[in-house]
Amino acid sequence: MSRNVAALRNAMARLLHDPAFVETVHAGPVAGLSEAERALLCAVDRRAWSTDRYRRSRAVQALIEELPVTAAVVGVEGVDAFFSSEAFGRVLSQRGSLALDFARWVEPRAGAVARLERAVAAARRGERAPGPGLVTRPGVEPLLLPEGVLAFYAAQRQALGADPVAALAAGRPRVERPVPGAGEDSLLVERGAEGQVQVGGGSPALVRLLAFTTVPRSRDATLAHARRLGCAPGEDAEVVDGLLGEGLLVVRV
Amino acid sequence: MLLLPPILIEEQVAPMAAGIAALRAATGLEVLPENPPGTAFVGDLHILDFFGRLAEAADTGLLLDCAHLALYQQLHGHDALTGMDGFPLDRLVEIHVAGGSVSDHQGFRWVEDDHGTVVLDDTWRIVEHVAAHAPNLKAVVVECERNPLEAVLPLFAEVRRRMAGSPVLGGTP
Repeated sequence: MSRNVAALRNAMARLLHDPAFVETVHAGPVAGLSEAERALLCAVDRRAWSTDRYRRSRAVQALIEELPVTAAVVGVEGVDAFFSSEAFGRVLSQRGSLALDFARWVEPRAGAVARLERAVAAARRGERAPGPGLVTRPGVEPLLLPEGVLAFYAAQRQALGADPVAALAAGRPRVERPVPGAGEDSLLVERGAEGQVQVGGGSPALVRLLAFTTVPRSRDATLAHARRLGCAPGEDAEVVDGLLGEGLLVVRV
Repeated sequence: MLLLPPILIEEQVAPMAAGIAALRAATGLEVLPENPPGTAFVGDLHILDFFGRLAEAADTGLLLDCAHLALYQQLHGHDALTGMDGFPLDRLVEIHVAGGSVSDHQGFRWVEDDHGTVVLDDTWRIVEHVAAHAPNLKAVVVECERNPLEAVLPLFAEVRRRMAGSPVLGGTP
């Protein structure tokens, strides 16, 4: 019977970070693992998974550094809990990014500020799905946020100071997630030439169009989406060509 | 980024070989897979069998980290040279030599790949075996960063002495 490499790597990542999962694997059948796969994992001395005592702490620190305001909302223990989740194991098997996947996982608890910090992290990485077509320039992340979240982020980021990890590790009380306003902010998160990330505004239609092309789209599909967003026939091509001229859209062959 | 050793099973060979071939095609450079360090290896293949099969499947050369191999062998209670008989030494292009130190965790003994200047006896046995039997070896890398110069110079001299049996690198300054 064939054994699933992705499932084993997923489990291996969890075993290295989560002592409770080590006990689970040794105790009996585990969802997502065949008995043949579980036998391979149980053949490893269980102490071997925890030789690096600070592995999980370093990973938590890295997430706090990248998503400090999200961490301020959910607390250090809320960040730490990610490493006991099945979502964490999937990061490896789906070749994801730890920070981006954590942001997606924590958003139901942290609210839209996690989406904002996820956009900042994504802009910093500047990655796009492969394939030909028109695509939003890597390093530009279009984002629609409930009104007030950006101001909340700015205030909390300042309050955390230069070393958010130290602030949170010192027991800084959790902050309440912002109450979303009725309106919506349409934003462009953009990585500059020096690597710094800035958040600016854009029209809702522009942001929605650039969100559509965060995966590669044909020119025809992009023009059609521009018309759905309110462009008149003829104006659609003008808008798309304008974005290409500004470098917000790029052509992939 | 979380770096994990490969899962040492037959099912991992083909996808990893495909990745090596893709990387070689994309860069135009040779890609030499290296046996990694670790304390937890999952799979029913010996690490040398796994990398031998991988090299055949990807039709590529190999990098053998002798210190990593020594720690793998010790972790599994093997002799330093276990698995060498089936390992394609003719594909070996580069070897690494480094110091290591024995650690203990709740009674579990393992070797830390600390790149110190004290090289384990098992690592030297592997180096000498490889030197004598790898006809296409091109490079020996001594990994000893973060040590003072006066501490590492004797290590280079010792590596040179241990490589004396190499038909291709023996006597190389």
